[in-house]
Amino acid sequence: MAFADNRQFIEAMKKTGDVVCIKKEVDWDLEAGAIARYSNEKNGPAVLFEKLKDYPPGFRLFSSALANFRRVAIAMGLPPEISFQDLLKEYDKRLQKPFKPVVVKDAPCKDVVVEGKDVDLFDFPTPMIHEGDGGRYIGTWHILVTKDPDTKWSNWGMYRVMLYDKKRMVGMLSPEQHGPAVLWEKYAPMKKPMPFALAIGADPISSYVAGAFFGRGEEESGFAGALRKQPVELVKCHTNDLHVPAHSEIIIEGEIHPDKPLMEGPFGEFPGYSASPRRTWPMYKVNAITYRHDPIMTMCSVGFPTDDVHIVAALGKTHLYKKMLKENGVPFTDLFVPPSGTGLLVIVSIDPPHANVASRIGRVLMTGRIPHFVIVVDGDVDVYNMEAVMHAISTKCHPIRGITTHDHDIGSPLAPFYTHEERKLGIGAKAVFDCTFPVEWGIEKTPKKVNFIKGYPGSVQDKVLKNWKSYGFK
Amino acid sequence: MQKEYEIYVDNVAELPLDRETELEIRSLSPGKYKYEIKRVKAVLSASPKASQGDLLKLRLSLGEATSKVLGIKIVKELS
Ligand SMILES: Cc1cc2nc3c(=O)[nH]c(=O)nc-3n(C[C@H](O)[C@H](O)[C@H](O)COP(=O)(O)O)c2cc1C
Ligand SMILES: [Mn+2]
Repeated sequence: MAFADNRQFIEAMKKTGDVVCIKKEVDWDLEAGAIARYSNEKNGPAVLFEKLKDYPPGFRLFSSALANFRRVAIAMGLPPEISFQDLLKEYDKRLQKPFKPVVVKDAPCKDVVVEGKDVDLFDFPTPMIHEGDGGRYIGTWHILVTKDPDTKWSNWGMYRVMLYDKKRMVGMLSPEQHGPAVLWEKYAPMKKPMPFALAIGADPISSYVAGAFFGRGEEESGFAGALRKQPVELVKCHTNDLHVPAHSEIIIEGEIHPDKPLMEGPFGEFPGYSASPRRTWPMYKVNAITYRHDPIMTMCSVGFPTDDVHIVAALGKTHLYKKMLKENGVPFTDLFVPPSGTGLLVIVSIDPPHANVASRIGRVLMTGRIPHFVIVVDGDVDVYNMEAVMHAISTKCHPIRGITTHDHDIGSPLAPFYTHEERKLGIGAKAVFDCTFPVEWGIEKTPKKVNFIKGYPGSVQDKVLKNWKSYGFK
Repeated sequence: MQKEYEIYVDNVAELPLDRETELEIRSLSPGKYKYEIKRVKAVLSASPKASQGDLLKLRLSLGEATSKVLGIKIVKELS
């Protein structure tokens, strides 16, 4: 049985030692963020804060749900020790067939209903996550539900949301993302606000899919069902016709006004810096809040790897980029988006079928803002082994001819190496590092690798391995 | 009691002093409403004591705190 909610997920993690439940009062103002950050940086457990300063008992905060692959495995009902490769294999398999969600009438997320003038966003222990953040971020591990008014496509996305005042929020809504695309392309020209529902504390997989990468027009709810191997239960919102996961902890309903900007940011971001300049984004006007008794707010204490963003990127983008290469008929051996690259970098291994294939791979993968770096290595390099990848970069990438740069491109406003101006505009450059020897060098001119496998005849390797212990090794 | 507020600026010299200005500030008063944002009409002064009002701290736009503190007298809260 899949976890219906974070409560069941937390119970399961108590048994495997993957969550720490803090009973001592913790300050929502920086202390909770710092605790979760320190745990993330040590590959430590998820954290349930059971008592927050200034808030009544029962109002809790859950952090770092999926900040390592172990917890993703647990959330998918797999053994926690599973290797990344096996996890990915199961992930790819489950995603082949979406499970349509089911709509239910009654839902725990409606235990308490607050509307109109009674709405007060400060009633929940929304954390101040990092020093210097532009505000308290209520949306860092949540689902933004929106709907295309024409096609009725219902999208789930995860885009950061900051508290402004008691009834208003503001959040980044980059036009290429699915929810924001509908806002800018459909609602803004009609001069109408877009209804939204922000579901906080849905089951771990539903939250995961909101932050992961699917196609335009595809519904994340179906992929959540597929990954859980059980359909997600949805319930209609209290004040609009959007549907949210029934077992979410808190539902915030209202409209996003494209013509009413508020200042947002800065924020400690996933590349590990506070880099994207403070600027205006549309206002979220809140009309109603519904929540479960003793609600559990969620947080991702974003920053230096490894946290939930890097794990979602590693799994979600490894899956996506493999699909993109296959769809474009580009042969490759393996591919990995390492969490330490924060999602800005991808490593692809190939057995070069022709000259300049690395550049072709780069063009297929770099159509969006991200990735900024595509590292192409030979098929004998293990893309999961960063020592081997560093060796390939250092020994096979020509400092000029091996690097193809793409200037005048779009880029991530969060990329710390861009100028302040470039980050403001979301423009920049990208690069492909070709760490394969040119195919035209042929066998005569290609340096020969010297390691145990390539440097000795098979018969000698066999002999050494067979006699290893008898030489005196353990 | 003297209240504390905070404002984000691109550089510390940009704020006009000694005349009414519209500003977006956030409250630093302890409690559950800390960091609520307000738009206000206010008069700033270089010397916090002289303003007989509250304090305004300055933070740079990427989040770095500055040591600069101004006096702020809120004339009116805007919505
Ligand atoms: C914890 C977390 C925070 C994220 N924050 C943002 C954000 O602030 N802005 C953004 O554009 N994408 C953000 N993302 C990435 C998007 O959620 C991701 O691109 C996802 O595909 C968006 O859904 P969509 O493809 O339906 O637009 C975040 C992802 C995670 C896991
Ligand atoms: Mn989508």
